Amino acid sequence: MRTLNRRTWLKTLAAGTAMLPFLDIEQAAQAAPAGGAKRVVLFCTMGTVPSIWTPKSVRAENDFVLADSTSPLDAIRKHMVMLEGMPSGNTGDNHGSPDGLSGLGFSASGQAQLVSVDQFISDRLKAGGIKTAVPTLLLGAETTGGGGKTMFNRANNLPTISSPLAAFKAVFGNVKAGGGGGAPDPATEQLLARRKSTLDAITGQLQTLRQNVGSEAKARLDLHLESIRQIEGRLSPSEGGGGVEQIAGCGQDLKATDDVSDVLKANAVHMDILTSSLACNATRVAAIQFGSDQILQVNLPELNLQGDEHGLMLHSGAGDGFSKLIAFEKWLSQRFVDLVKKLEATPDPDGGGSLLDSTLVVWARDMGDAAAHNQESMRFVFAGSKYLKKDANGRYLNFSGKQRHERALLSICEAVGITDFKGFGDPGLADKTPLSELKA
Amino acid sequence: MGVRNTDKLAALSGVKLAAASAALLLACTARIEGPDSRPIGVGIDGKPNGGSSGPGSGTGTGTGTGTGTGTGTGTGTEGDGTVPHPTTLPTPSACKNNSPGPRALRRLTALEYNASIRDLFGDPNVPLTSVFSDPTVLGFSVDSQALVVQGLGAQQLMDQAESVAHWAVTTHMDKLSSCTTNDANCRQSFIRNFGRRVHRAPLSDADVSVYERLFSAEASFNDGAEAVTAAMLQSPYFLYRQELGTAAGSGYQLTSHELATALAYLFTGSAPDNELSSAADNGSLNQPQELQRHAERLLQSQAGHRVIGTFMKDWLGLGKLETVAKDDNVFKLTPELRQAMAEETRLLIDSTVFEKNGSFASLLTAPSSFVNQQLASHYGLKNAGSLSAQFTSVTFEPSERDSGLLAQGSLLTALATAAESSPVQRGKMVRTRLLCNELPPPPPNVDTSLKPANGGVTTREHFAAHSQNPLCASCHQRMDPIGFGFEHYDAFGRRREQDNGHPVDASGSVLGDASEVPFEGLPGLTEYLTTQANDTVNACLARYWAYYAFGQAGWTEDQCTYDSIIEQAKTDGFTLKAVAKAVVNTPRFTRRAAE
Repeated sequence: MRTLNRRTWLKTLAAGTAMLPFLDIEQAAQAAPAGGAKRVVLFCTMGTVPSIWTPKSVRAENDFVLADSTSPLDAIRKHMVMLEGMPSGNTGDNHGSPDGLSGLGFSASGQAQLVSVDQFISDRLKAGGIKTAVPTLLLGAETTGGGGKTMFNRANNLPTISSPLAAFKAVFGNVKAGGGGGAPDPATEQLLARRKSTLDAITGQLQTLRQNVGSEAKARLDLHLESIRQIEGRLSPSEGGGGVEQIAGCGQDLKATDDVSDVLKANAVHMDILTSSLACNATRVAAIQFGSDQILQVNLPELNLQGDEHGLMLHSGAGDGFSKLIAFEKWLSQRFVDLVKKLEATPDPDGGGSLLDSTLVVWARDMGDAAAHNQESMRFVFAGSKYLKKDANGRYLNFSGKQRHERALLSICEAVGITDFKGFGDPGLADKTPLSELKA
Repeated sequence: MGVRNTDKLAALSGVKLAAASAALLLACTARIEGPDSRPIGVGIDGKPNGGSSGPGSGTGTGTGTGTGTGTGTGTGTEGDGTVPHPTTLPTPSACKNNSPGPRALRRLTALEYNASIRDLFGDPNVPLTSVFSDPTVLGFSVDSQALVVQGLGAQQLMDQAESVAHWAVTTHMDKLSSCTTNDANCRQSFIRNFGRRVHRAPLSDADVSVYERLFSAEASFNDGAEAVTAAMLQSPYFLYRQELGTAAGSGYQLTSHELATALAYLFTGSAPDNELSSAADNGSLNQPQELQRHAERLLQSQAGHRVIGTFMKDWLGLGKLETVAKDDNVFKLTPELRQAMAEETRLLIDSTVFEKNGSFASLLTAPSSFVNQQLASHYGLKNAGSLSAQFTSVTFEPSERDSGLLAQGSLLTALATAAESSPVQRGKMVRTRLLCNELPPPPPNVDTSLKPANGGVTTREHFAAHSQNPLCASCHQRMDPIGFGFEHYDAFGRRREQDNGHPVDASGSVLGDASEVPFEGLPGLTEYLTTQANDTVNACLARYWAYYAFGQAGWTEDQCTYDSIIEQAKTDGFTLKAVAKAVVNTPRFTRRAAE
């Protein structure tokens, strides 16, 4: 048997995926669910100062002039809806709280649902038979800087993959199982068999160790065991009973390094990895976060923007009308626009249009007014997918504090066909329905 | 305002603003003790993250006053059983029965994992990329409850293990196996010998069989060795350090191999070397004086020096020096200059701790430092021209620059904003990391915007709002007045006599429960920290070192451990080496309690 290198392996697989067993499950995975979106992308940044974000003038829902900080969004008006004026479950929750994507955050009553919407959606998709090679892809350099947090939670705060090279390898470096068609390559089969035996052996060792430790360590070993099960699912997605096949050989042209010394440069690579992960069917739920809730080191000398967004721009910016924050938010808006346009220019790997047609892109933040540290007016920008009700001039909705921001998160769930929200957000939310205003 | 503490303020959740403000004021002042008192933790009442502990989840309803030490049971519905990560040092649990605390299972940190693999093959150039996405907890990346393999983690580990195994078989077969014949003897020998090094303990027969099965599925020795090496590098016996022990009396005694592992990772950040491994194999490590001897030996090594440097960096928040964005319009801080500052501090720590066997007070009062020409020019030293690219010991003229740790360019630059000095960051570091007094985050709905620093105001004036607004003052009075003592140094560590056209006022004070201690500049602050607050600072150091050593911010009766470290270190003048090694003599290092 010859030793197989990765390139050969992947080339071999490309031929093998042409014909797949379990075609009906594959078809189900390909078809857009009733919601109108198949994929979700979260674009996550710190909160802002409301006065610089709110449109300068609003004559109607579809007739508004964008503020400077969001002016780049003019280029994607026909794709997008801006929302604000929606409090979280606990508006005083402050830094590092999970409200942004979980709806409720902490609660004085003690029971807090800490699952963020990306995790909830991924779990529900999987339960519904849509299993991807990567359940959720959370990306972003230095997102726990200064003891800070990401917006993603599942009991504990979930880190993002910080290094673009690590992200690239995690998503595109692994070997997928071959499908049916054609004679199996013996070297390929051998490698696959070796991997499976190895994972069985490791699993056995983990289970043995697990019997001899306390419950806290058991919980961590369980995470490890689940992480291995995910690999096994990727090695044989069809054996798992339905799944979305990642396209072999896809994404190999990406260039990535371990360098995270410049967060914004690293995140640019992450954005490419993110869009490729969708185009290659590696995942249906992906997110990118810019810095932690505490710190984002901005190094844009060409814009005269150098410093930590939080300290420099949010808390020291009032004196000159937040000019630095406006400039940086404008830069972020442009990145959001780039993302939407990239998705628009990329074909849906399942056919039937562009990735943007089947992807709901959401710009979400951890706080509403980040300078005042409250979550009284959470704001979003929704874009893309057939789910979203759009207008050629764009739409701006201000709920004036009358609707909880969790309802916007429920809309994200509804977009991908989830209508049972039990286990997410505030169990006591009076109107636990998505925002009808968002739905086409 | 600068970097903020990440405490969560449960008292404010769902509570009206006015009440919340009052609650905060009470909470702030009630919680923070003076510098002369014992350090306290600021567990947050009622908040799930702060209240629950132990098994169950972060959504439990425990009522402890810290993380991990209460007795709440998790009743959350979406929890995965993992424990919430602490955001502040919990209140220590009182020492009643000299309990050594619970057993532990600790995943290797990212640095430990890399170092272990490099040492396995004796090659610093093993092709490794980052495979862990670990959160920072309490400023460190060592928390055993936060270091997990989850999500894509196992995938990343597998990919890395396979590529390292392939590299090893192709280029370092000699490190893997002394024989390469594909027969039972050679296979056994390879599995047992290499496996012993990877597992850090002799393999059980069961584990040998597991690896044998993997080996025999391959056609050649090389393929078999590659398959087994990849498997071993993914094994939990490699990835996790065990502190489980064997039953002894009413609790557990750590095995000699577990002791060797604990000693090696604590003092070198990597796996046991040959000498330590032999000591584990022959049981000599079970003798306390042997443990101490190896501790001393390892601490003195190059790796030991690096460990102390890493601890200091994380304890004092110096890591930010590498990444903090600076305003090129004010001064272009080059990567070389950042590195020079880091090197200055590394040399100072090395010299003070290892050559002079000094204490933390020795670092604070160090009379000289180490600069090269570039750094000396940056500092504006008049003898800069006579220096070279080499670092050399220099004693500063008092008029040119203060001496001691607090005046290190690395610290002053890291604890500053892009363009300005930051009394808040500098004061907060002293308050929370040297005095171990915790601070809650700013309350919501306070206008946190600072007045612009234009019109020729000094930094002190710029931050005046912090003391004028009572909502801000309750916490900021614990930080800013300390930070003002640093005002002779700008955001790039340069000494200044003028700040925006006014003479620098570097008078400061440290607010306690019953007193406010004034001081003048860094010499005054240093004097305070090394005399009046000396015991407090040393206790705080011991607390953070214990956290670093055991990977847990608190456990049942953890005060026993802190007391033991302090008591031992005291007899040795609280030298840093004594503090470091004292951990090895605590009951927790060798024993654990029944669960």
